[in-house]
Amino acid sequence: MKIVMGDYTYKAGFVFAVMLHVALVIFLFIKFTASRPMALKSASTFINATIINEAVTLQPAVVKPQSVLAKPQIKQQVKDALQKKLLVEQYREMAELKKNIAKNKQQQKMQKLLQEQAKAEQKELADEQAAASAQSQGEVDKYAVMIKQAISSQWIKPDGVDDSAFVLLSITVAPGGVVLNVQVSSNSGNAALDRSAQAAVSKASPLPVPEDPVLFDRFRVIKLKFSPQGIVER
Amino acid sequence: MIRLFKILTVSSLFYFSNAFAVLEIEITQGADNAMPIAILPFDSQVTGVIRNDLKNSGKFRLVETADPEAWRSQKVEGVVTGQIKELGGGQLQVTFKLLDVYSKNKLEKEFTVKTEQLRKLAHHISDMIYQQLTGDRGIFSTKIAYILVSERHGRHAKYKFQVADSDGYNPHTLLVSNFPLMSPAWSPDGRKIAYVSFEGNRAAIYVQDIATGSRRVISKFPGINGAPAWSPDGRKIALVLTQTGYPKIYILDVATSRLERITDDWYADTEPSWSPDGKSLIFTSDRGGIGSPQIYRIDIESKQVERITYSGSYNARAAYTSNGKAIVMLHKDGNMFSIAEQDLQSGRITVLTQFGLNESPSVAPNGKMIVYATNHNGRGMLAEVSIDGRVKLLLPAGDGAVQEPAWSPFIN
Repeated sequence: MKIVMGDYTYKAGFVFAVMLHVALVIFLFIKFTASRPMALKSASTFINATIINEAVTLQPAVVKPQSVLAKPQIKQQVKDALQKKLLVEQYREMAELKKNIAKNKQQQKMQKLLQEQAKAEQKELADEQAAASAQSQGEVDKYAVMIKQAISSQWIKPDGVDDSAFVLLSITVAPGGVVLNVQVSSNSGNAALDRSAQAAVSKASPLPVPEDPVLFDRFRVIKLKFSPQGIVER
Repeated sequence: MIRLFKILTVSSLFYFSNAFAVLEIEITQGADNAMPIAILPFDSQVTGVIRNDLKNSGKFRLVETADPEAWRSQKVEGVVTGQIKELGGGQLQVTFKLLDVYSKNKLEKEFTVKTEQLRKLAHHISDMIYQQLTGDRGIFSTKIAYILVSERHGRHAKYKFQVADSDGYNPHTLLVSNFPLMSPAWSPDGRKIAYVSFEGNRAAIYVQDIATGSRRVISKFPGINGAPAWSPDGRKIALVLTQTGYPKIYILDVATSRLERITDDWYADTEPSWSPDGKSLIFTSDRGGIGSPQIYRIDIESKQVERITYSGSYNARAAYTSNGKAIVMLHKDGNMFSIAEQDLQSGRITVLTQFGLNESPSVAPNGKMIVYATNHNGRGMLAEVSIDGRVKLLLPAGDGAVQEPAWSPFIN
């Protein structure tokens, strides 16, 4: 929102600036053709005031060989012509400059637009990916719950296990859900709890796993934590 | 900027979810099922005892098949096989094997026993299987003591002190008396029993050695000498005396015979039972209202008393379960007497026996079963109930009425 707003103000400012420049140049041009001496005078001040460094250094270089002529009239004529030439040059330069600036602006704007577009595309892609992943995450969660239920229903929990005790198993699952390997990655210190967990997993095999091979990848290795906190209701 | 941030977070989520792709599932709830096991017959007596033990524990379901494929489909967790060989001279060689199907553990043992020891060995094997598969110590080798009262054609009743296997079989008579016998209590090592005898029409507390049969009087004060209970370390016996007129709880030092009065008030206090740590006693008292006995706890050191039971009009004969987290007692709510368990933390009461005249609960040393006396078809019988109330059994007992069963501690 902010950027879009900024964009508008920028655009308006730019257009305004261009119009102002054009108006100024036209104004100046008309003034010069209308009265030469004034134009000369004002042009000279104009030049002194805003001339680009290059033009200033150029002026004496051009003036010097002509001043060798040493004829006042010619001098004046030359001076006039010179001034005019300079002015045209100046104008051309300014036009060039404006063009350049405009071009630059255009380029910047273009770039900005491209960037915007890229960003938008990126976001769209990310959103899509997020949506896809949310969907697949939903699927993963669904199967995780099913696996949890399948194992829980086979787990004959030993009595009298400490509330804090738990056993971690790492199981390897083949496509189709057959449990290939059950490994105790962290034992509970209670042999009965450990064996009951192992038995529960083996008894629950084959586990409900997704058929989709990409989704199934998430189920190749599953970490299971058995902690007998749940009170079994009769 | 915000947009960029969003993109960053989305992609970082991606990154992390991919990095931790291993699925983690937490399992806290188990099935409330008996564990399927298969016991392949190798000797009818031995396997008969094992089957009976494991089935009656309520923890196992016997699967009647020798087909390994059926074991898989029926989710059998343990398979018991064995062999028995006559060695001559009445000696037998028994080997047994427990295959723990899913953990690939094996339990394999070989024994040489005499024929008459087969039943004992079978209980021992049951204990090993039970422990391997449930993690709890089995109680199949423990004993149950009880009083058997037999009326004989109008003559005086005979009182027999019986000690049987935990399944009720194999009873031995420790003592026969023409006078009432009461309140058997096992010493913590399982070698002695304290009980009350009214020999000569006077109550006295005796301690008898089970192996030798020798006995001695430890308490014969005027009035009541009742309800003996051994401390967990076996050095003291809590008992009830009426030295002050009212029944009061005392503690007797077995070695020095020093007597200490524990409760001291105007109420009737009886049936002391030790906490597993030996620091306090629970007892029955009518201090909350005459005719409505409740369970109280007293700290032996500070003598501070606290009431434990509030639910029901009558709670008596309480004993701790082995882990000290609950008590088991005789409980009356309305008109019905039942065996009930009360969780000490929550105060929640679970009624374990709903019907019949049940009395004198005694908890098995692993805290999983309770033995009690019940009236079945007009006859006093031995019965057991699991601590979760799901398994109830009537045990065989000799001719007569069963009174006051007491479950032994673990016997090594």
